[in-house]
Amino acid sequence: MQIGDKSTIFMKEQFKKYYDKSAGSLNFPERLSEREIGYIPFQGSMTRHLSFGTPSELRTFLIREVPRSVHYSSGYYSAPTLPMAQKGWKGADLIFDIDTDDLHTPCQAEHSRWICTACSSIGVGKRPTQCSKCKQPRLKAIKWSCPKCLDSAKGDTVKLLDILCDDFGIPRNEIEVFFSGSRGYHVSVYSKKYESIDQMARSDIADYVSGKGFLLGALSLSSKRRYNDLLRSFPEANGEGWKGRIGNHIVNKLDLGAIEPMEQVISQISKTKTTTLRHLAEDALSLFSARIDPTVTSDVHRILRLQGTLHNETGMMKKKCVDLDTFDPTTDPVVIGDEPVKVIVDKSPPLSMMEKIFGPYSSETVEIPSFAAILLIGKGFAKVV
Amino acid sequence: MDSPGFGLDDLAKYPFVQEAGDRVKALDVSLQDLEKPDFKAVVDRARERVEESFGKRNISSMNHQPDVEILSFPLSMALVKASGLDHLMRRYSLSEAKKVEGFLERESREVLKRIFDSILSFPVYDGGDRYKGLDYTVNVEDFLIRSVHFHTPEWKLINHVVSGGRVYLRKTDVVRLVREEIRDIIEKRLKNIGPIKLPEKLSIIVQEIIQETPPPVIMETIGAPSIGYPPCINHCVEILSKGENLHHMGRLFLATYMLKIGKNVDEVIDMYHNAPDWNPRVSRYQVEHLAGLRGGRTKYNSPSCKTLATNNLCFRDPKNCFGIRNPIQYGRRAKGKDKVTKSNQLKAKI
Repeated sequence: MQIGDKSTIFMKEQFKKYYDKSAGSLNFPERLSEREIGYIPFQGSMTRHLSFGTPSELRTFLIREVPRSVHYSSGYYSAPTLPMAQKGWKGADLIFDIDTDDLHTPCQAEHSRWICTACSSIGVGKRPTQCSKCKQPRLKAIKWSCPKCLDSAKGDTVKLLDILCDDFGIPRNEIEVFFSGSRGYHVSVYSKKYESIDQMARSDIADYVSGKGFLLGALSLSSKRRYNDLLRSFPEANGEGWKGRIGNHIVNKLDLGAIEPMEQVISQISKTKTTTLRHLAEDALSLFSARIDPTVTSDVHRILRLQGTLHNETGMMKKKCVDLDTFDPTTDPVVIGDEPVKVIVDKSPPLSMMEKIFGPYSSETVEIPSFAAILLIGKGFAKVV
Repeated sequence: MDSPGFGLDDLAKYPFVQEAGDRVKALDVSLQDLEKPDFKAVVDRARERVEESFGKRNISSMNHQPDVEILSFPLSMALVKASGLDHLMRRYSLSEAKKVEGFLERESREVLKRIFDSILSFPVYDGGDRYKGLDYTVNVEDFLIRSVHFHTPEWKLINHVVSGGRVYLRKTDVVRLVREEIRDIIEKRLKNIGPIKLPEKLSIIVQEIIQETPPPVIMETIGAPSIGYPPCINHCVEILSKGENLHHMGRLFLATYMLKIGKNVDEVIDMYHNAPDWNPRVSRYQVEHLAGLRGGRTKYNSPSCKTLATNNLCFRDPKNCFGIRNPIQYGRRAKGKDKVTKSNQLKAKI
């Protein structure tokens, strides 16, 4: 999109309508004045190291500037406006990002697209090494999430919440879940217990929730296992944490649930092939883990999209999911109006929004609601005619 | 004069607890008194404590009168402080903590509880009967703050029973956590001791200790990328320079990385000189093996960033680590892309 082109002007007008109408009632994260705020305008590059003393100052800023996207730091600082080294880190929310990109859903093959930044042509399928039209290598994958991808992300978010509440004992009221406005969910934990832990500890938490680094030896399941070690280490029925999940899964899959006493179960397990046990443990890890982006969780200076603001690629709001089970990411975060607008669209996958399906379109001019047009423009598939 | 909580023998084993300090005060011995022949055993034991910390790297268990043990602890701290050698302070703190670890492993639940209550800055709870052998629990956050410094897969959170915000631990695990706490307490106390004016005989001992103490290993930076080593390598170097234990994966990583950037085998072996279990013969064999000079003649590559992350060795520098898959690329990428591009900046956001 070029600055000053019709599409950008249209997009900014729609964003302005939203902020004029809704900015006054937006809620922001706690400790706002201690956080760094950054934004990308419709014209120009990113500005960082801003700070707002009160929520109303930030609301006024949103109405005045109409930013293309706004970000806040998960970290709290003594001086958020100073360069990073001088900010004075005081702590950070514990955050998790579940992004459909990391889920590798089978449907991604159907809606993978790429765009050539040299000639703007769009291709279907995985990004090749060079543009089929202009032969330039400057290709960018267009990230797209269909309802199936978003369902999958929700499933992983539910698993993450289970681990945080059951294993880490974090009260549900200290956790907030947000739809990111595009491809997944953000989970923020506001807990005094975890705010000051460092990058390494956060990295270990990331590995824990994503089931990485489990040792078969922790359950005495390695090839050198001995009956007595197994009896000592293997969890009883309904065991807790990862050991419990893996233990229960092995017992269920080997059909040992009805056998008593435990010694009999252990005896059976000790006779099972190590490769079988390894595969069952791997199954359990993949079944119960949450596929998060570990770099987000371990980063104590991360900036992420501000709740209540619009996503620059979709026009959808980063919205708090009060009830995750009933939250519908194709309708609930849609805040742009439905006034029809004429756009030319090329090679877009089918778009599900507000219980309707738009497309697939291939080099055609269509009149569609503004909310759908904004998403197709933001992704690079459409231009206002 | 036994403390109501600890017996005199306990104070001799755990001379850093408050009650041991009270015992020292009650004995009312000045630094000048220590020069008298009556206190020769105390001075000898204090010197032995310090010398063993850099010699055998393990302070021997006591075969002394409890009061000799109790008095020699603050004196050995004074000798270490007076030496002015930072690396000796670290070495000494670790050795004292290791000695205590050996005692703690043999203690009853009751004594352990008293020690925990007396010195720990975090609570240790009774684990109940839920899991066999897992007699203790600690809060997840207290566990993580300490366990991540051990850098071994066994200490990863996922390899423990975690439930309701608590980590279930064996006695040996809790003792290992406590060892770190004790090391930290002793090191902080050493740092907080003000300038000391020692009597002449003790000053001579300090001078002899300075002469005997091996110098710290200075890590060469030849061959490092112009912007310095990646943070993961700096971390490994820091652990070794403190004389602490770097686990197997960390050692393998450090050696393969250094060989890859062009250091020779001898230079790499020298980097491990400060390791608590330093053995030049074993180090040479292992480094030569990694360099492809022994065994199957395979030259080993440096592990990937992903592998390092899983082993708690990744300390991502958001600017210069961006887009690299192996720490070897750290210098190369940073050289060509000193400036973070706009598109990279955007990708870095969610």
